[in-house]
Amino acid sequence: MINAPILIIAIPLLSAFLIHLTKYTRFKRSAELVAILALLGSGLALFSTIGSVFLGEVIYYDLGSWPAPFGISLAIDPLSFFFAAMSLGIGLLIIIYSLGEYFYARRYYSLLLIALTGILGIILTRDLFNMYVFFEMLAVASYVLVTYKHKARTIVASFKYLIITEAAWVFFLLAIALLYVLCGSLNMDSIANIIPLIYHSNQQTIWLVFSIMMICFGIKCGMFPLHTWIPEVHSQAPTAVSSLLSGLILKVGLYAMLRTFYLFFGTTLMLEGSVSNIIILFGVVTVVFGACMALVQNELKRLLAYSSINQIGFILVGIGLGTELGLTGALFHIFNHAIIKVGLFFCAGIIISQVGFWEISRMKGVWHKMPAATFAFCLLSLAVIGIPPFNGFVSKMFIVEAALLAGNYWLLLPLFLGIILTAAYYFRVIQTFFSPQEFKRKEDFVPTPVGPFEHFSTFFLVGLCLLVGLFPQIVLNIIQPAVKVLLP
Amino acid sequence: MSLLNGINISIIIILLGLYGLLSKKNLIKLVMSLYIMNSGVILFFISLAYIDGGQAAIVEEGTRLMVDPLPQAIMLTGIVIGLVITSLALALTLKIYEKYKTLNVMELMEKYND
Amino acid sequence: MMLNLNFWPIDPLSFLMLVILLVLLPMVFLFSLAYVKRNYFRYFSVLFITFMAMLGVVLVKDFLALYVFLEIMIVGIYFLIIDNTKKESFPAGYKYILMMFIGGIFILVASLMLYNLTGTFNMAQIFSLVPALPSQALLPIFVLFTIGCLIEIGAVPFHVWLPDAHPVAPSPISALLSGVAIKVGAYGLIRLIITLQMNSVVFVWLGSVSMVFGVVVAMRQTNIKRLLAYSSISQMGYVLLGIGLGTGLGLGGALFHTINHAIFKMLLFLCMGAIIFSTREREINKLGGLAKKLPVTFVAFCFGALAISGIPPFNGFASKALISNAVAGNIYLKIALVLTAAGTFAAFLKLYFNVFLGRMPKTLKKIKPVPFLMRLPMVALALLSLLIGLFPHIVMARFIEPIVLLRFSYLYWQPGLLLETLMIVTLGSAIYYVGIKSGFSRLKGEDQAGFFSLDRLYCALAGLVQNFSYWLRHFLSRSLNVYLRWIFLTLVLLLALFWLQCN
Repeated sequence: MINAPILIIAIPLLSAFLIHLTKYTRFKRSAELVAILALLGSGLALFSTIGSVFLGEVIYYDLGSWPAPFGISLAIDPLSFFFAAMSLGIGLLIIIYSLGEYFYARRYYSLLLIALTGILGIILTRDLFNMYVFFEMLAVASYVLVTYKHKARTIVASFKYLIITEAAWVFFLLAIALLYVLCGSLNMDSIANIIPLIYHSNQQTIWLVFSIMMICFGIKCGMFPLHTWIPEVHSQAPTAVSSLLSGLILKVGLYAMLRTFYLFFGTTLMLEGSVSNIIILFGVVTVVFGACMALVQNELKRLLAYSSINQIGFILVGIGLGTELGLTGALFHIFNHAIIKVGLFFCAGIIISQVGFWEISRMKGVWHKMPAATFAFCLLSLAVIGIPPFNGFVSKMFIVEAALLAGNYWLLLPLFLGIILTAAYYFRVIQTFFSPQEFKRKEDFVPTPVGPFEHFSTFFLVGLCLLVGLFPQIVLNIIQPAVKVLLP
Repeated sequence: MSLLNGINISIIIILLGLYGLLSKKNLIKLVMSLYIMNSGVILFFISLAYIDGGQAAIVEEGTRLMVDPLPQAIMLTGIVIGLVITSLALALTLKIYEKYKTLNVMELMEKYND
Repeated sequence: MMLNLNFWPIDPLSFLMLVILLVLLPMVFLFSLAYVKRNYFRYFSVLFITFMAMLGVVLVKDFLALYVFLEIMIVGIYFLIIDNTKKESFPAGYKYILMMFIGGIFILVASLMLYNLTGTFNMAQIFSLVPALPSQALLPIFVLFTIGCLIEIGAVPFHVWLPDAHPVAPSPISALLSGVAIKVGAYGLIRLIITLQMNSVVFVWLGSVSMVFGVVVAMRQTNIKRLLAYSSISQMGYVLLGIGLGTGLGLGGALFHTINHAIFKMLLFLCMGAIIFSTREREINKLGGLAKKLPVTFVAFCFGALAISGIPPFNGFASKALISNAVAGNIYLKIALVLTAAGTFAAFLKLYFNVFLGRMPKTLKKIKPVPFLMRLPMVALALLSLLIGLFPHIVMARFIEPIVLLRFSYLYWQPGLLLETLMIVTLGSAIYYVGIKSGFSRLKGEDQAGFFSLDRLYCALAGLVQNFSYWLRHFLSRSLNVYLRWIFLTLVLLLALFWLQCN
């Protein structure tokens, strides 16, 4: 369908505002219904393009019929399709999980849809400033979502998140300014064509733009010195929002990195030795740092946040390696980590809502009271460590194989350390869950009942992990055309 | 080109904002610095796209040289975005003051880690 | 680069391991039926997944599939070890899973490097491609894979998980670990050697060190299962020795010892399991005089102890005879073999005298009778041990000769070997006596390996990583301004890096 890109973005956006109108209907769950219908509609628009996208055609849509170099254009190519499908699927699961928790009101679903619009906009747009606007849309929605419950620590976390992100994204605007002056257009494809021509006369400016973009996307995705907002925000936000952050927002930063680095700067800069080495270096430091910090965390959600940082490091190594196998492994790990981490946050949410505190050392013997959630947590942590037959194994194997093929044997040692430490900290948590002593709740704490929605979404993700682990070809069929977009 | 043109001033403004972000401990000052930096970048872009002697981008009789309208349009959006971010930041600051009674980053860090 | 689960053709080595598994796994199952008293669903579901994984490991013909099933087996056994949920089973289980996982990763990386070199994971194809490859390229693969397998086997210096994991696991799982899981590691090693057609004399050294180290420390132990664990380390040293010798006789002896050790070690662990089930005690100084109360267990233990010491007509004698013949000529290895066998006999004399004979201590109140389902596997394994010992040539001809492609004929009943056995018995008794009198071989007290502990090295290493992480956490909690400074510092750093390489 030729209008698919704009529909994919517009349907959730309009529904975000429609949800507030549902105040006037008498059906109690109307807000959730509108949200789910919006996502399904968007998904329908996306899947209507599946045939043509995989035949190699890119579907363009120019906003307002202004032709490409002058106006904003949206496009669906295999890479965007992969990310958009992933975002819609995970968004749907997050809404299903939120259905079970009764404190989420209309404005939560509205904000969630705005966030998803932002994500889909980033993924589908081909205009650089449009991407900035959608990033800011996503950011604002996430700042408010994080503080959904108005608790004191949450607000401080959200403030820190805001300042850290916006301080750098102001510079992104600067980068857009410089790029516009150099290239005369803000359309990604035009810029991609012009940069090789003007590279030699404007090297320093282009490197400045590149560094600013790397910092901005690095903050969004969690590269080592730029990750500082992640632990606090993930641990203070409500569970569904943490999973949205960890599962989608981190990945959207990686998508933007892939799109800008490989498409604009691809032939001139990315394939030069130093850029790929720098990204690999950052990736390796992120892996080891995330793993070491996760080892000594006492709060469950903070541990999961540092684990996210750990896994993003692996993905950065795959991106930095730049080979076909490396990119396949990176994209596959993006998908796998998204579903696993969202599942883990869901389990953590179920467990925390039943025990009433966050510290792992007090969560002894959770197995006895909540066997289902513990079982799901065990399976998902086995998946993230990289144990066959789950999906994490396949993607990590691809990345290790890519490192071996690139001849980069020194890379193996930190990756190896990262994998071992991942096992170390997850098994520490599993051991505490299986401990024979029982945890003690606070006396005045009433556990909220955990309904079928939370359990369904969690076990759906566990089943999906197992399925993708046993039959990775299902997802690899979508990823391979995406990699061809990046490395023509 | 005089030394006091838009580009240089905007760079000074950006650096001022950056200095404020990196060294001030009061939350309101941080938000102010953020907005100053945002304004600086907006000024930078508009100045960058300025052509000497150009007129406003409206097609009329006798106009020969026009300033590029695209940066101006983009920066309008940028101003709006900066406004949204700043207002959200100020709302959060208000809430923080309500809950913690302090606006100092260092004191917040200590209260936070309890 | 896809996973290929082809099991055919079932070549003789896989057939041998398959038969071992099919005989021993039902024993574990039967014993578990009587031993496990709660969480049936969790225990048995994980047990069957582990069984499936073990069968998978020995049957697949693909290195990647081998790794996949190996990991499933390791994780399954981990969940079975902590099934007890006693407080001390967690540190031991943690050490177990981390070390085995590290071993698995070594195997994975070696398989990937092999894939890069040859383009396939399939063992048969690699076998045909290997002669054309330079041995320089194969060496790192061989080293990595071997280290992985040695960790799985529990050879010195990677044995530290064994003595901790065995005592805390439920008894059928200890039997599974020592009887089967270690053999899977040996199977991997033999597969590697056959496929890559490379061997190394390092196995001989590691094997001898394991043998001697295992028995020396075993004599000091006071926990009955820990003693058996160290004895396992020692016996797997025999297997490593046989593999390392590189001759058909050596490999045949190693394979035969694998079969025999699986049988009698499982028998011994099941006996100890029966004792623990009946008396709820694990320390030697709390046990004694059980021969009259648990007769079946006693007789089964005697069969097992004689088998492990290499006394005819039990099966241990036959396999040790083969290995003795294989090392014929090398005086140092001969001495090591004799010392080890004597030490083993001494360690089991310790168990014999102090657990079964002697006076029953007053603290031993009620002794539950051993259920039929526990006695059945013990009796079956004991009879099997005797049968194989009486007719070793049947086992050799049917299982091992097809692998090694040699004909072994009656290398067992040589007078020299019988004399050696007598020497071992006397030496062993002397060592036992001296050990008890001198206090080296204790009857009570904590059972640390003490001077010999390699465990301290590993714990120190882990402690190093943890201390570094604590320092990192302390060092990096900063205020907002500092985080912002880091961001801009990174920007400046990147700019510097990139601008410097511009021209």
